[in-house]
Amino acid sequence: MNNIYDVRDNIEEFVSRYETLIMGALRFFLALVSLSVVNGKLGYMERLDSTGIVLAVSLLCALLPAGVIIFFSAVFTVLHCYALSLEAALIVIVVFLLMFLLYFRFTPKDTLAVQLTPLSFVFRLPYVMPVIYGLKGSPLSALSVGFGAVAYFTIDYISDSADMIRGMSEATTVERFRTILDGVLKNNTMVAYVIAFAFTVVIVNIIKRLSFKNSWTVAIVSGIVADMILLMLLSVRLDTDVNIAGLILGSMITFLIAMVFKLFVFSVDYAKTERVQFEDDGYYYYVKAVPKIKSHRKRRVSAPRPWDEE
Amino acid sequence: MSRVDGDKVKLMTRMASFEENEGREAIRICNYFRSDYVTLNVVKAIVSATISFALILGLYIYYNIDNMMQDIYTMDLLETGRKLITSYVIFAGVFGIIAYVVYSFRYDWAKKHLNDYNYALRELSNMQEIESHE
Repeated sequence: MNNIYDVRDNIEEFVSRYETLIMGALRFFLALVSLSVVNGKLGYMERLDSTGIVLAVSLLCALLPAGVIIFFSAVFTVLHCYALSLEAALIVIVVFLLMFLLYFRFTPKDTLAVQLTPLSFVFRLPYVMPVIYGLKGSPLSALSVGFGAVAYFTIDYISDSADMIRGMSEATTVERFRTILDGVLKNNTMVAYVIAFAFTVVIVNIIKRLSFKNSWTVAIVSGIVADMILLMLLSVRLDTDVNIAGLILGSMITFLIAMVFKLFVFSVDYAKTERVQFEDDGYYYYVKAVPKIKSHRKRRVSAPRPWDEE
Repeated sequence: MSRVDGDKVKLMTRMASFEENEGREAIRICNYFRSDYVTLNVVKAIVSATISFALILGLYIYYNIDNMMQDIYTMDLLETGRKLITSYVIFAGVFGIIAYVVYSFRYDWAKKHLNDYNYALRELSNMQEIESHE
């Protein structure tokens, strides 16, 4: 256990020192993965489906605020859908606009949840998101994770039905529009995931806030169990195709990931090194304020202290 | 020329850090009176709700366009219009109330943070006054 604390201290020190560089690299990586996934799943517009464009946009995202990544991901998604069918693009635009107008204008910081939830589905670990956002966010994060699930299932439906949509060339625009909208909205698997994830976020968040020992661990376990039970019940009730074996395995991996997050991310204060400048009547000040790192390793060194000798 | 005062630098650093981070938003919010800030954002939220309602309505009409074209002559347009307006008022009203609560809380949060900042400003002013007397 002491080794884990040593590793944590080292990470804390490293992050604190290279914070700007690390955040830029993370933004680049997130944009690269997101845009590659969009291109991989949709990829109907050949001009966008190129490594050069993805790298250039990712590099741009590394230099700009994190919210830009979701903007570019949405633009890529809409353009690919447009290349497939105008109706699909129209539906995706409306879904994204409703998310923005009704919710994200209140909480722009939570857009990361909408970015990460579809990625977690693609990497077959969707159960991680409600637990992590239950720990990290507020009960309102239930909506963010829910919207993320809606975004994933919308893209997934269009990806899976691409041949069918292309094959409807004889159908009228209204018929194509109706078929795609039915496929997006009447998706019981999506409904099951949205309900289960929303409840899981709220359960984890409420238990995490309670003041008893190991409340975070209890919150993680309760959230995972609640998520599993809800998904199983909803899978039967709504007749969906939730993979039970995958659910159990995914939940076990979720527990490990959540515990790693608890230890290395949430319980550590990665206080930023601040660079500020100001002036008074006599001086200009260029101050670099470096946070004090409270190392467990240093605390464990049993050097005799003056008052110990008395 | 005066020497650099360590306590003053610490205080000014904390204040500058506040201005750079969470204080930026708090200072921006507190530039408004409470009623102006909340009203402005409630109006913005109602505009958002109106656009959203129009989008949802557009989707609904386009989805049901065939049935609507068939029933248009037998439809009670007055009753449909009344239902539509009632739905819009409820939708925009609920959204406006949520926006009122959210932005009222946000203003109170900003005011509280700015009070701490103002306290630090007074402390800095006292320090400077003492410094000028020495």
